[in-house]
Amino acid sequence: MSTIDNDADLRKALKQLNHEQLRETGADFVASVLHLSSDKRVAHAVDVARNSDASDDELLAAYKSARVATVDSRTRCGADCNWEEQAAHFVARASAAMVAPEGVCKAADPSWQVVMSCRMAQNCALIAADDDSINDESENQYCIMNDYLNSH
Amino acid sequence: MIAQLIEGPLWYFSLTVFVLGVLWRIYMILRAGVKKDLAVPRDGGGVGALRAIFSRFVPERTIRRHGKVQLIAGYMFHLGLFALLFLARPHVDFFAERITGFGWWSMPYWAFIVAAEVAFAGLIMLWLYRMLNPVTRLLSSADDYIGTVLVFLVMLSGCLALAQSVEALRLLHLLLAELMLIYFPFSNLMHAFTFAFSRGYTGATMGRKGIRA
Amino acid sequence: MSEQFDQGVAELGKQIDAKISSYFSSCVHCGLCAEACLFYTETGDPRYTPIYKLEPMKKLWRQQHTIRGKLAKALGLSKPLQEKDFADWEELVYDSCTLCGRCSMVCPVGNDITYMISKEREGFSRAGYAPEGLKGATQRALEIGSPMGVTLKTVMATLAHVEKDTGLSVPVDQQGADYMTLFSSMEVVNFPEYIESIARIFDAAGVSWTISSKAFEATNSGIQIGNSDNAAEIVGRVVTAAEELGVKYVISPECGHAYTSIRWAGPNLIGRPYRFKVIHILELLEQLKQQGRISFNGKTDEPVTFHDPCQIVRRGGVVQPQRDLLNGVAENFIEMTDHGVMNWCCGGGGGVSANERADELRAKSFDRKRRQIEETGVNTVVTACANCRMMLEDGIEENEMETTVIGLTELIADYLVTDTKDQPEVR
Repeated sequence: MSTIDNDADLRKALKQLNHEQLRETGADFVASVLHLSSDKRVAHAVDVARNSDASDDELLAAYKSARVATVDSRTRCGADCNWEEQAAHFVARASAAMVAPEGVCKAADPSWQVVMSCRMAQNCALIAADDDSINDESENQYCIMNDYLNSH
Repeated sequence: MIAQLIEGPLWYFSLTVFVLGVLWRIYMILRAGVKKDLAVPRDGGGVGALRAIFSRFVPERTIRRHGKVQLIAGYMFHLGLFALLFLARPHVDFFAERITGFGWWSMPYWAFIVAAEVAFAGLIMLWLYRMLNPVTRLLSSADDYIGTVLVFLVMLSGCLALAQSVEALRLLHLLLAELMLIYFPFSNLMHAFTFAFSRGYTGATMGRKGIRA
Repeated sequence: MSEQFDQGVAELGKQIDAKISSYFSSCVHCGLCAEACLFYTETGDPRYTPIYKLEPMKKLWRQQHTIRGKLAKALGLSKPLQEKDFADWEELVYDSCTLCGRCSMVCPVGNDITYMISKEREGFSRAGYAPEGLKGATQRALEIGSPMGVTLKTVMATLAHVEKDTGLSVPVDQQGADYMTLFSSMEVVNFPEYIESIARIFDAAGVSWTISSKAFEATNSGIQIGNSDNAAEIVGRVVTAAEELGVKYVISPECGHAYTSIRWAGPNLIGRPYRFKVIHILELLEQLKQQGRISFNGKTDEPVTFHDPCQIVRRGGVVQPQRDLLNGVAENFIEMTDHGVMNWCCGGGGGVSANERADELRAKSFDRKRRQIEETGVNTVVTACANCRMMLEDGIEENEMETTVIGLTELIADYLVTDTKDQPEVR
């Protein structure tokens, strides 16, 4: 019975997963914040990540498309930041890391990028809504991970 | 009478304009002042300044390939001209008689010919480059071309005068040199003196940051 | 001509000091500066020759500081500067110059052309001739405290997120702390992982640090647009806050122009030395490593290269620390051919990334960086400036490259040995 309730345990659990499993859990993490993005490329990336029959080409295409979505959605230097749009940017960033091909940028740990970017997305959404609530996306992620491990 | 004018009053006039003009230009630069740098330096500015004055004689590595023609032609011209101006026998005698009161070693005739050819080749290559390269063509002004032409004519007349040993050619050479001395302080030729200030200022700024200029 | 234009010309004249005068006197129009400028090398357009960007200032210099120029003006042979001169040159002064400094490194007569362009911008900005994006950024910086509209509230929200994730507290307004750190808006908005990284590193190293609620912004739009009064106001806030808190050091974050502003320009802008020292985050991290206060567990075996941010390296003087740090966490660090002090600009500094009008030119200029990355044969670029990171990512996507970009401080934090953190494996 998985009882992850902190980041150290979450990281440990992610390290035990293979690339396909990381993609599945990544898709679950991103799905949790997908409502913050209206970019079809990001939604498509989640669909592809969840499709166990997706070919390597489809995954690569989704990765490239998500990367472009990430760059397109970012607030440019010196521009007045729109926090709703920034939230969508971090969802795109998470989705790109989610479908990153195996071995791409090992140094930056794509699976942890997914986790952090989803949290940042939620943080931006709270700022946009002028909501002083604590960002509890991490708790949500622990639950997602526990559910995944308990069902596999 | 013309000869007396060229050898006498015009020489003194041109030398005066040259000396006072150069000093005035340098004074105008220094008068504009530089504010003291209040940032805490990482290294010495003085050392940086001195270093840059000499280090910039060596072209920076990343532009050596693309700037090859200019760098080679530039050194050919300047080194050749330096040799002609300060180490050619007739000039050494001229300086000794009219300015310093003493002479110094001068190069043999064959070396003079080599220096002259190297200087001419360098100058012509630079001149052609200036006219043909889109960057230098855009940047160049009348001043650049006038300076080039004057130096060329001074050098040409000097070589002809020496080769032909004709008094009229020697006087023509002196006249052209005098015109160049008068033109000098009003032109880009001032770089001959101001380059040391420029390198020094930049070297000091970069030196304080710990960067070798 | 408008009064604003006249003020701009007057300001331009005030900027002509002995350095500028010497530089104009020494320039022989050799054009070698063009070979150092990526806007020229990647477009072949001679108008982007660095010294050519200074024609308006040169005209004024000649009229005010040379015998020939004064005579020509008196005789009516030389016209005074017109609005058209500024209008025609605005693109050259702002869109095609990132103040990267490469031209200043190669000029045979030693001209600091970058310095000259900074000074020329003082006149242009006063005259109203500056890109809209930069004007907006500067306005927000003065009114809100951040060019990107980041308020204290949003910083605190971001810090709360960092505290929750790390279990560490981020000190705010801690009187007498050793270090006061700044953030660039870009980091808060686009790369908040930087903040978490330094929180973890400082905790591991036992660094006494704080941020100031009155001055957290590192970026100085005043420097980029070329308005010393604005730049002085912005840096003055940091100085006041740091001196009120009594900190020993102010840390400049991973932002190039922030470092130039606070470290080198700041004291001259406010007219006095600081009562604290300035240190770049990379210098501090290297010091902590050398002192044994931080150590790393493992290294990535993924080949990496490093993009040197111009303002930190060539214009800032911080060259070696990033290399020592990267070698500490990467087994296979491959330098770019032109690396260190002569690395090529990302194309976005000096306000260019805030200038939408310059997007096409900036994209073209990225060809140089693309070739540099491709020559190394590696797929991971590490850098230490949030703006460079954005520009690299933009250019990588535009050119459909496989490359990924990482921030150095983040990478350091990932390999950090802490008491509680699970040790990462070699990746």
